[in-house]
Amino acid sequence: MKIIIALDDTDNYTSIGTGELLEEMVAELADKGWFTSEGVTRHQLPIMENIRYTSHNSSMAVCGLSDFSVLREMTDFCENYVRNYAAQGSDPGLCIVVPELLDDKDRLLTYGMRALNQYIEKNEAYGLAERLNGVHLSEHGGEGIGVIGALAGASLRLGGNNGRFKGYFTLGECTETTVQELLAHPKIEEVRHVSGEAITLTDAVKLGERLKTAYLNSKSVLMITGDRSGGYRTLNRQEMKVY
Amino acid sequence: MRYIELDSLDIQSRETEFNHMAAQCASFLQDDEEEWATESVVNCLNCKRRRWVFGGFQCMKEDS
Repeated sequence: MKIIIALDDTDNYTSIGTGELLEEMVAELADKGWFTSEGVTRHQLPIMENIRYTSHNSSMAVCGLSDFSVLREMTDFCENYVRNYAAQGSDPGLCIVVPELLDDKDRLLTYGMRALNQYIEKNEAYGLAERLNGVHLSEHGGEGIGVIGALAGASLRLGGNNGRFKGYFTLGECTETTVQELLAHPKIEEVRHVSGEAITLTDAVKLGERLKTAYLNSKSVLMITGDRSGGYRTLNRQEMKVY
Repeated sequence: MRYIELDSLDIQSRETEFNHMAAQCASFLQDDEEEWATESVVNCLNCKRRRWVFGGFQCMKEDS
């Protein structure tokens, strides 16, 4: 079965980031044979005066395959992991969602969409998590306000159309290739033009030094745009920030 | 805390300015690459102590 795990607010100015902590936790889950990751995604939450965050207010989530038989044990492990490894002074929140147990998926999706541009109280996050089957939400230190973003991160990962995959990759020394070749890469499930313009498998794409994919339609999507010579190129770091 | 106004369109045009500032700053702390805003690593926009706020960022180093 699929499981989504999301973390928020686990860092401080000198610690590792929340995404790195989630990756390390997921590696331990994989070592135990409990979870096979489909990649960590980053979800940008709003920059607002009344929302507390360290430097950029993003939530990190991962989706993967697991089994009902290990769910309790895995949840306990994650809770202990966050309690032990979240940075001092942080307000960590952990959310685990089992999509197939959800009795009201739409309510959770609506919460995630609202969290993209509104201030949400911690009580509301807990209230929703308690009403829904298939949602675990817990805080592990500080004021625990990370639960707001953790629930949002899980919701946005479930929705399949927000954020970008953590990490960069290259195609070796290759600086230009076809859409077809790009689709052969394990980290690319789709190649899409930013404006929705139709592209073909034989179209050539100039590659940036490091590639990153967006999370759209529940897929890892390499975004491309037109370049000055009338061909196509991948997006640069700044352009990818909109995802 | 120092507030620096910055439009997303300014990031490229002001990259050199923030490179110089970061190079001279003893408190520069490289953020996770995931959060970098420029390709030049030592840059205020790639520092863990810059805090994005509406319309710009705050420098969170203690003496700023």
